[in-house]
This record gives sequence, C-alpha cells and structure tokens, in this order.
Amino acid sequence: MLRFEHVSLSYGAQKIIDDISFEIQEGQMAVLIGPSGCGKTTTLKMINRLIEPSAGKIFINGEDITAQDKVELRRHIGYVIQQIGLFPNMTVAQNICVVPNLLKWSKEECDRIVHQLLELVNMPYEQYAHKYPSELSGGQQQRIGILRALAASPPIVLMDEPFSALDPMTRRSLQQEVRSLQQKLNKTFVFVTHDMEEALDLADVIIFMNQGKIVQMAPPEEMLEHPASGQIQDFLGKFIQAASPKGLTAADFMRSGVYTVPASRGINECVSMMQRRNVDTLIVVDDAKRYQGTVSIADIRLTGHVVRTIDPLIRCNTPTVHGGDNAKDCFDLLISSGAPYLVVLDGEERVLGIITKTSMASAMAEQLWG
Amino acid sequence: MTIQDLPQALWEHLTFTVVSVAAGFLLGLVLGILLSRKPALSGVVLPVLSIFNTIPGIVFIGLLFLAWGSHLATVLVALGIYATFPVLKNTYAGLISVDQQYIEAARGCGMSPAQCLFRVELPLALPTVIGGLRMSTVYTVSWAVLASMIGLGGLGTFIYAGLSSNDNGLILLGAIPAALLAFVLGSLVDLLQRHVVPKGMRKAGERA
Ligand SMILES: Nc1ncnc2c1ncn2[C@@H]1O[C@H](COP(=O)(O)OP(=O)(O)OP(=O)(O)O)[C@@H](O)[C@H]1O
Ligand SMILES: [Mg+2]
Repeated sequence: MLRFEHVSLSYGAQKIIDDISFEIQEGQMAVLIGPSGCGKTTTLKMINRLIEPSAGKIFINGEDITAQDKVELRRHIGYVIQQIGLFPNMTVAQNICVVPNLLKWSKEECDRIVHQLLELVNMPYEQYAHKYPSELSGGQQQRIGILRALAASPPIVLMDEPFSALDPMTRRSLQQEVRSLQQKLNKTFVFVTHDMEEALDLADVIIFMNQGKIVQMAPPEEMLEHPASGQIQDFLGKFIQAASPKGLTAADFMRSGVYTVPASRGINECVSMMQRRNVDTLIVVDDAKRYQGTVSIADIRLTGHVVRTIDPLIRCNTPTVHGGDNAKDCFDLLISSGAPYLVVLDGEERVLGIITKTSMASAMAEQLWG
Repeated sequence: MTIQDLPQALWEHLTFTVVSVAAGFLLGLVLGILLSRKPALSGVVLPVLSIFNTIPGIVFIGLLFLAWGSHLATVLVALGIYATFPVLKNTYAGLISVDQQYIEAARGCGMSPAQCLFRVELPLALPTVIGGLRMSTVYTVSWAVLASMIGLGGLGTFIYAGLSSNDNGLILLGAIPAALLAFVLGSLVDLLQRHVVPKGMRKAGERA
C-alpha cells in the first residue's frame, strides 16, 4: 500500500532522514513514534510531498508518488496537522468540505458528507455545522480537523500528533473514535505520536524512529516482548512488564541475600542467629552451598536438647522452585502450599533467594506502578 | 471664493480621493501579494518604498507638475501612488503574518498556490488589508488638498485662498469639510471592514 524505499533527506550536511525503508499494508494503523526531532513529522510530510526526499522513492499502491501531480496527490491523502489548522474564515461545514470542494463535488454531496461525518463524532449538524472554529472547544476543533481529513474518503490518512494538546479524558475518547473510524472505514492511517500509550492502544504496527533511522518496526505485542533497543525499552517503560507478565520469572519475585547455614552448625549458634535476625526458620546448605532443607525454631525447641547440630532436624517440606520458573506458577505454589515462603534455587541447586508473600507483593507493585 | 463654490470643491475633492484610492488600493493589493510571494525581495523593496514615502507629497506633486503640467492625471497619479503605500505595506504584512499552520493545512488539503492565496491567505489577511485601505483613504483626503496648488480645485482652493488673503473663515471653510470628509470616508471603510471580514474572524479580531 505505502512503501518507502531507501528514503533519505539532508538539509545541507545534516542527515534528517537516513535511508529508511518500510511498507505499510492496506487498512493498517501504523504509528510513528520516537524522541523529539527524530524525523517523524518529516517522514509524514514526505508522504504527501510537502517535503521531497533527497534520495529514495516512495510508492503508493506501487506507483511512485513523484510521478503524480503534487496537488492532485494531496487531495487523495487526508492530512491532520499537529496544530489542527482549521480555517478561521470558514464554518465547520466549509472546513469539512474543503477537499470535496477542491474536487468539485456537488453541493448536495458535500452537504450529505457533512451530515454524515458530524454524526460520526456525535456533533449534531444543526448545532455545529454553521459555527466557526473559534466557537468550538479544543476537542471539537480536533474532531473537525480529523473530519476534514476524512471528508473526501482518501485511502490514506496522515495524522501528526493530533491529540497532543488535549486533556487525558478528551484524548482517550478521541483515540477511541479514531480507532473505530479507522476500522469502520478500513483506511490506511499513518499516525505520529510520542506517547507510547497512544501508540500501543492504536497501532497495528509501530515504527520506532531515532535520529532519522527506523530502530524497530513491529506490532505492539512484539515490541513489548522484544524491544530492539534500550531506548525503546525506556519508551515502553511501565507498559513493558505489566503488559506481558508471562515474561516474569521466580527470580523477579524473590528476595535475594538470604542467610544460609551449613548443616554442621551447632544448635545454640543457630538459635542465637534466629533470635538476632528475628526469623523462625533457617535455610540449610551443604559444603558446596547446595540446598538441604530448613530447620525451624519449633523443631529445635521440641528436640534440640537431644542433638548437637541441626543436621538431624532438617526438613524438606518447604517447596522449592528454580530462578527461571514462571512467576505466576510460583505465586500459585506459594498460595496453595500454605508454606511461608518458597526457596529459589539455581541450576546447581544453590540458594538464590526466597519468595515470600511480601517479596511477591512488592515485586508486583513495582511492575504495576514502576 | 464663496460658500457657493463649496459643493463643487467638495465634489472635486471627493473624486480625487475616491479615484486615486481605488487605483492605489488595486495597485497596492497586487504589489503586496506579489511581494509576499517573494519575501526575500521585501528586504530591498520595502526600505526603498519607505524612503520614497518620506518625500513630502507637496514635493512630489510639484515635480510631477513640472514634468506633466497641470493635468488631472498629474494629481490622480501623485495621489494614487501615495494611496498605494499603506495598502501595499498592509497587504504584505497581513499575508506574511498569516499563521503557517493554515498555509500548511491548505497545501496539505491539496490547494494550489492560487487557491491557497484566495481561499485562505487573503481572507485571513483581509482585516489588515482593509486597515491599509482606511489609512490610505484618510491620508488621501488630506493630500488631495495639494491639488489646488497646481490649480485643479478641490477643498484646497479654499485653504490656499484663505492663507494668501489671511482669511481664517475661508481656511475653515476648506478645512472643516475636508476633516468631515476624512471622517465619513473612514467610517465607510470601517463599515466595509465589518462586512467583508468573515464572521469567524470578526470574533477573533474583536478578542485580539
Ligand atoms: N527546514 C529545516 N531545516 C533544517 N533542519 C530541519 C528543518 N526542518 C526540520 N529540521 C530538523 O529535522 C529533524 C527532524 O524534524 P521533525 O520535525 O521531523 O522531527 P519530529 O520527529 O517530528 O519531532 P517532534 O516530536 O519534536 O515533532 C529535527 O532535528 C529538525 O531540527
Ligand atoms: Mg513533529
């Protein structure tokens, strides 16, 4: 549908767009995201030839866009600019019909479109069609800006941070409107944002750019699971783990740095250690630091007077898991076993840490709130 | 010179003003548009124009009189040129200051440069352009006084006659109608302003 082939753009010696190639399928919502100044707007404007690349080619439906007349091309590509840009000298209806007018559609046809589109965004025709942009709220203006881009039913719609100036509530509802419009009308959208949440919500495919290059192009789920760079990971931030708890392991949930004692330790020594650390069990390891089991203060009280070392008191009733085990399974095990904690072991059966309800809760809180 | 000559003088004055302002407006509008298409030129053109503008009207009319003699054309051309400046400057300034977002939106919608100019840029610049027309009208009423200097009539006739004969009454007989004329024409332009400026922008203008 829309294909970039080795497109570059330089202003003087500065490379703004550096050899980007990608393809967007028909009916897809592609979201361009990246840090400020990475070239998102520039990329978008090259699609409707507001900016011409210095090298490379762009194709729409297999046809090189430079082969078409610029003005004609733009009439068939919807464009929502970042600053909305509704013409203040025109009413809502006139603004919506700018492109149909340029295409010399009949007055009745234009009128029908205005009715239909205003209905789509729940702005009654009678109430709004003859208002001027200055009489609308920011959110309403933004809606009309989007309708203006859609009016002539272009197969491709470009949107440059259309919601950047809105409060979160309006923003969310407009995002949903755009998403459902796009699906209803089955159009190809290229959407610029620097808000990852917006990108994850809207995109069929996310194109992450940095310094004029595409770092990663992937569907949201894939980007969440395999971010291609640390920067993308930063952008994904809080979404990355919350949205994919499957990736969490026992190691993420455990408390490390737990105390272990060799089986050869004397009873008294262990008792004072437990008192000092205010714990009621100790984890016992052998000489190679391999996990042996646990001793509890209850057992020591019961039979501690007949043995010298803790060795005979070791019990193996505490469940163990391995560091790489699925966190959800560990959670289930901890709850269902009724054990106060799980012992986490590495591949050589050495103790890595323990998972308690507290460590689990704080790890979850961390995932949730960062 | 008596009060009986007043209607005739007023009519002449009005004609000079209206004809030269109309011509100056069209010329200023066209030149302003052309200049705004090539803003790089304005760095040269505007300073030259404003130097020209500082030549007193009386000097210019005098020079033109020496070259052409006492013709109606002499007055109309001189006044027309002076009427051009404010319109040109304001048209240029108005077009240049149209917010880039509207131009980008217009181009993005697929307007040709001419469509962008006539459907978006000029309507948006119109309040400023009409402001130029107003200035030009009011100035021209007073510059038209100079027409009498080369013997072509107008309200200036009273003023010059009064000055040379030390007759304050005569001076006022020319000056007061001239002032009233300026006021009336200025108000007419204001009326025009209210009519031609699109509704959606009047609000914006009022707020500004
Ligand atoms: N006319 C120009 N001349 C020189 N450099 C330019 C010009 N226009 C843009 N740039 C540079 O090109 C780079 C990309 O700009 P662009 O507007 O595409 O960034 P962006 O990704 O849209 O950023 P933002 O998120 O801030 O909107 C920036 O570094 C900018 O400074
Ligand atoms: Mg941008």
